[in-house]
Amino acid sequence: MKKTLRINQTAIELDLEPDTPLLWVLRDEAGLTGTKFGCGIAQCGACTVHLDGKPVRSCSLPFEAVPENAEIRTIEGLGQSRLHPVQQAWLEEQVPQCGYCQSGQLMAAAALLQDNPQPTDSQIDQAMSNICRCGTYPRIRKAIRRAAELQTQEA
Amino acid sequence: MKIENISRRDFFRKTGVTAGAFALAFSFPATPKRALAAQGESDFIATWLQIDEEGLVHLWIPASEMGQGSLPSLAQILADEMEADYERIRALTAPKGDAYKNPMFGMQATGGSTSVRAWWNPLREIGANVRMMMIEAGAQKMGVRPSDCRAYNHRVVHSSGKSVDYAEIVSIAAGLSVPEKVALKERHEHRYIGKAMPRVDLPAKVNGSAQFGIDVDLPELLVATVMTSPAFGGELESMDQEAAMKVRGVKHVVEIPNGVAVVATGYWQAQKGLRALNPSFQGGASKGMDDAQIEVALRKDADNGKAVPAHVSGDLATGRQKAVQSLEMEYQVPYLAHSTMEPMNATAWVTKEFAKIWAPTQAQTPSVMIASGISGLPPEKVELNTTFLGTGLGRRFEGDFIQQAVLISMKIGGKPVKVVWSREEDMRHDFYRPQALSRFRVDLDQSGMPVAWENRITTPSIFSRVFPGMVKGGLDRAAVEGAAKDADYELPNQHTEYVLHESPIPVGFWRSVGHSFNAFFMESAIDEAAHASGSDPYDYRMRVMKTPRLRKALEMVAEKANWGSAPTGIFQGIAAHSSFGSFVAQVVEVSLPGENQIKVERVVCVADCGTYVNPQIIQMQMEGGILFGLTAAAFGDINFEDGAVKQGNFDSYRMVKQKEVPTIEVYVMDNYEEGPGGFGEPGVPPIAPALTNALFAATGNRVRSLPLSKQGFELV
Repeated sequence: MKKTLRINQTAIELDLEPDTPLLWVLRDEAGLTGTKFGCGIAQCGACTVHLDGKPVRSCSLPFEAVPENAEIRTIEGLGQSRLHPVQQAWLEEQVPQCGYCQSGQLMAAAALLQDNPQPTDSQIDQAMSNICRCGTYPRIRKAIRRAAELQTQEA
Repeated sequence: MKIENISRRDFFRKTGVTAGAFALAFSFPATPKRALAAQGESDFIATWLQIDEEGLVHLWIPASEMGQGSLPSLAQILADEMEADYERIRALTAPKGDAYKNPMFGMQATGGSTSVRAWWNPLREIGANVRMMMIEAGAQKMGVRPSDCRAYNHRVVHSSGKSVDYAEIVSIAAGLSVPEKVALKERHEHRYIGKAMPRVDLPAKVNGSAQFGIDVDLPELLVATVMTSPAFGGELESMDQEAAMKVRGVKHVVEIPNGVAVVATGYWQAQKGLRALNPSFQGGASKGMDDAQIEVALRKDADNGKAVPAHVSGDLATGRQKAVQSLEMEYQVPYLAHSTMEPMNATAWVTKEFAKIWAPTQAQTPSVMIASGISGLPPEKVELNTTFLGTGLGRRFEGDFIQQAVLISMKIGGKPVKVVWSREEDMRHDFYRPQALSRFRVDLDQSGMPVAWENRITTPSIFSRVFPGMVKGGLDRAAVEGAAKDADYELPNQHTEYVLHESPIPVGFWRSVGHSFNAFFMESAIDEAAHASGSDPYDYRMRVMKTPRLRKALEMVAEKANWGSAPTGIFQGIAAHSSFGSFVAQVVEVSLPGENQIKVERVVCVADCGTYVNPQIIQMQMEGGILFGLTAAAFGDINFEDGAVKQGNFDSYRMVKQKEVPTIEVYVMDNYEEGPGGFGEPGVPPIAPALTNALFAATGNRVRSLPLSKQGFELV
């Protein structure tokens, strides 16, 4: 199946089996390894990317279900010229430990803040369903609040 | 320790580093010079710290980074002692090399919360050498006496005020000999050590550029995925190779020990190939076993197995003469998976001439031996590069995934291959935290003090497989750690014994190892003793505690948590445990929002890790250890059916998520009288008992078997 995707604002022509999950399109075809494989069944969120601005779990989204010319944004495209507020906040709060789930956490957090620029703690808890085995959750919560501030300052 | 200025050797061209840079190699008595010489230049190349002509400092850090903060902590030590500008250091995980052997292990490996403890002195000494050599070089450059100069923030500063940057003097330093003796900095001179410096590994972890094992890429790299017998030790019975080879992208089907690998152009293609291959298996040591049988076998050993003493003091019968009450208690914990966030993987390229491996591993020396054994290549022909680890948790101390990668590369004609496991393979082929059963009889006198302490721990032995030489007379010390002589309480007439339970289920090191269950057993038993004698659990612990540093941590946690004054509807539990050279006390506060529902509202944690490098990294490890232990206490339970693990993914093996995460307050004690303690593991042991002790305070229900989900409690 042939299709053109716009990945981090670059058009890429692909010819792949229709059932190939977007995750492996990104990692194995586009060479963008920042997006991670954790479970393969949309449970852990390590593979979270933005599809036309919305967060999706790319391990469970087949190539055939991705619309032609869809805009895909991965961690590599999140803060291209300078750090995105969530990345800035993640460093300020020293969130990551092993770092493996953090691309997915950052993409989920960026999507949350786009939707809801001032989320409450309970909205953060509901929106952030990604798994972190290191237990960085308390810092993620703080960093999202900090990113909300940074985003307001920028606006 | 021997340190050598190797700047003038001609290997720079080989490594692509410009000549003229300054570089130090170092070796230790444990790894004699002879060994380095015998292994030739390639080993020397692996053993250095380098300052390039721009003055950028490259540090090769001798510990795997799996989230625990060893890489940034060790970089911080070096940067401080050498007076580097923190912005101008670059830290990488060291490749395989004898000089990187962990002085506490005698081999290159990361575990046991040892990195800072093992490397604190050697790395300070190396840093101090660099500082002294830079002062000497700077003095030469400025034409002044070294004794009138000092190093500060990447510069050598003369008493007159003039100064030079390290970048301007690297070529002079490259020609100097290493000082015979160096003075380490005094505590008040430290600029990074002891401070919450930002972790040097984090920028790459927020932009997707950090390289994990699963991200390794090489020209012509193929990707393999595997399936091994669901029953441990079973063999491949049948498969449809033709169907697998028809799948687009599939290149090879390769048999491996106890299973099969499909090799393809990418992971998805390999998975599809594996599905088409549809392998079936037969036999296996665990074949036919289910939870009920496993439980019966464990209890049989607890009742009648051969018990060996782990610690004996005084005499039980004599002690019991003073007793006014006697508590008999039985505690139990299940098998647990590691579930590292990054599934098992490794990349190998093995030819007749060399083996090159890239892997997220905690165990470099054993991995090299494995690769050498399979390939027949001598160890010096085996190159091993350690990537970042998407958590290790002890699972990556094993070499099974490396063995597979080496074997598959050989079987496909010496081509590079990356083996990547599915989550299901990862969960079903772990080396599990062993199940354990602990029986107590605790006798208390009139005042409630223990007068006789009898404890039998029945659990499989990890060391019997990993390092059999460490099991003496049937006693595996890891199985009784935290409950034997090292128990934190004054226990007169103590009789603690161990029964080695043989089981076909593979067991391994799981963050905090034996402490992960013995702390639950001991801190529950002590809590029961407190209640039985009508004492407050905190007061009781203070009366019985023998470990002075843990007593101080306990005192501080009670104060910080406002012990005994919880608001209405909030119930507190307390626990304290020492492990890996550190002392940790925790108070858990819970509420009960609905029937059988439990909400963890707050955890207050005090840690005495002695002298610390970075208090924030310790805080992070305590937070992470608490949530790791909370996940296990609330949900962790690996079950078996027909000899195979039932759980396969995160839908059936739950992890704590954001909405269940309590407020966590961590206080790191200032204790510079003592050397550094571990911090990757000690946060784990106290959380389960602190939680169940809180649950007892709330409900009167004493949870003696984990997880809570099995007891009908739901974490909300």
